Amino acid sequence: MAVLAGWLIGRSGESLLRERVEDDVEQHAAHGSAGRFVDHLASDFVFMGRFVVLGAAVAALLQTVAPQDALSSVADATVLGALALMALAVALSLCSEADAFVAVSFTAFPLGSQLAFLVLGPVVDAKLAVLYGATFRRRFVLLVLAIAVPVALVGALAFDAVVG
Amino acid sequence: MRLDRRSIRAIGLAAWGALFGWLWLSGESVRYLGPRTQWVVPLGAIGLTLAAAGYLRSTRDAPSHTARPPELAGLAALVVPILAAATLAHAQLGSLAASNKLSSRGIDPSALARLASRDASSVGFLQLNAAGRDSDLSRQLGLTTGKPVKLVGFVSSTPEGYRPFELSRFYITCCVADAVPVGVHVAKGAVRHLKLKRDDWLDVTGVLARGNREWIVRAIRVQHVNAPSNPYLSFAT
Repeated sequence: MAVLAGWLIGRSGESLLRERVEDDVEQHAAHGSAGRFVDHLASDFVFMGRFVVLGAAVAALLQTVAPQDALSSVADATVLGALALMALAVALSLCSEADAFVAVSFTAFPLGSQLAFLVLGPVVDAKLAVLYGATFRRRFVLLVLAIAVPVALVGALAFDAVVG
Repeated sequence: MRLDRRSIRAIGLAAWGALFGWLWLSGESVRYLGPRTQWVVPLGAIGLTLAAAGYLRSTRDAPSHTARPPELAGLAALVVPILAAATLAHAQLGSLAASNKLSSRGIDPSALARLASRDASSVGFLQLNAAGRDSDLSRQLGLTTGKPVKLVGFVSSTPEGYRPFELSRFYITCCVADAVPVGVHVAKGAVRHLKLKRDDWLDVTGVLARGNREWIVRAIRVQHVNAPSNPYLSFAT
């Protein structure tokens, strides 16, 4: 997924980054390498922090209101099941150290669907979407979605066809 | 008061350094993070405080620039979680969260329990939940009808009448975002007239009995207790 996304997104050669209003005269106000390090750290912390907070709030809201029980009704449908777990991965925004513990609990879903949950979550989730939107141009975000979702889905179905 | 860009960045760093410091010193960090990720708290407290001091020192001669609205909004967004943490001190996930989390019909939290119970030596929520559907694990853990058990947890469901209620604990891996409720049904038995409501914390002493593909605790003694300082348990991995 990373190779395909990198190849397709990088082909155009366009700049993918948004301009930051903070990136101007004060960028190099500090002296010395240590000074520039903390200057850059402070700038990034305050700039990205707001999006991390917003993304975490969105993820918390989705965790609270998303009806997780509704997923179980599509557990037997291969494609819908994989899509449902991918949607849940986006909503839950779990870190990749913990998502395997949650994935293993989806016992009614095929292994491929669980794999899709594990693969898509670290690439696209509610928290990351806010960060992507703040850092990259809209085209990049749409391309990541357009590549990640089909690749995860096809991978899940192929995994089920071979292993399941 | 006019805030310049330098002040905003320093306030943001120092405020979060102070938040991590408070979480560290008060022990409140256990309400947010699992044991594997606790190291983030002292690192954040020390690192961000040093960064704030270093930033102020290294930019002391820099020209002042008035902060723009997006930067002020950014500072406000950074302060919101700090206010929330202060306002919601001692808050914890309870029965509402348990009912909204992964549950019956197709999604089975006991698979988590089974995964983490193979090498367990003591009997708790995780082991009882997992062993109910796994006779090998029941044998391995020495679970038999009549075996005494003691559990401390919160009431996550209170069916009417004398039917068993559910006593639960949340298990977390990294942080409360990945919390998974693991529950055990408790038959009131000798304490059938006990008044219970959701989110009551109970110390239950009882004996094991077989239910329908689960181990049930038949209560002998039930005491209301305060919520423990660390309300969450973690998967022993």
